[in-house]
Amino acid sequence: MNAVEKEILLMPNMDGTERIFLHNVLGELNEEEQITALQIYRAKRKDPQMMLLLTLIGLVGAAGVHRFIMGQIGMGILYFFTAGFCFIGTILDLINYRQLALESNKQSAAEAAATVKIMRR
Amino acid sequence: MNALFLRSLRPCIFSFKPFRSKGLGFLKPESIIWLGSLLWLGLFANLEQQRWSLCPLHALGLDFCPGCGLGRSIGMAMRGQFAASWAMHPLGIPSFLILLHRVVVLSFPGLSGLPQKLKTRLFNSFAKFARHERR
Repeated sequence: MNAVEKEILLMPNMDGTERIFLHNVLGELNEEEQITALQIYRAKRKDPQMMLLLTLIGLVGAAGVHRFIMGQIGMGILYFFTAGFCFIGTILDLINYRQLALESNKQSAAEAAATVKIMRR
Repeated sequence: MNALFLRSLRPCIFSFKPFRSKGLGFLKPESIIWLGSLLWLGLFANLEQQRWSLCPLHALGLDFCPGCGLGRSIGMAMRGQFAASWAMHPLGIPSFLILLHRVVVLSFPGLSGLPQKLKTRLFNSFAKFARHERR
């Protein structure tokens, strides 16, 4: 097992789709850069299970925490002040939480790759 | 990571360039829901009287609900009745704009981090320039 695979194994609940887009984004980098990018990505990554739990909070207390955490501030404010569109939006996000986590993870992977390319000289 | 494996993955569906998806590929489940509800509220919904409500708080018989009236408010904003929309629910007009933005971002994922990307590009060119100056 090489160092890149070890770095990937450190991230919990990694599924095949996420693995494929990581390969796709980090493919152009060499091994050392890939490890740096994966470390940056690990800090920014949203665990799908955590997103599910944060969405569940919306049924009990404050809705929209998951949207704030994913960086969608407008949607977060809307969810917070309308109780998740009268709980309907919260329930939709409970169904859709994997897609949501994947979407924000794709973005942070692209950002991590861009950051590593800046550090290159 | 094996180079050959990576090369085989390159034409994969996951790409970050905008406008890459063909046909109806830009429609995701979430965007279908937002777009469908916006279209229904803007074109077909009857805003004068409320016959039924999806709200569980309403079904429980509670009077207070922070989100009730938002749908009618969005519908009024889409039909140009801004004063009535504000009176029904103050968040109607902003939520219409935010939902539209969300649908666009969902359909064309390359557009989502556009300010960040422009910033990165600016920083990159500046760094290149600074390196050039140092020599």
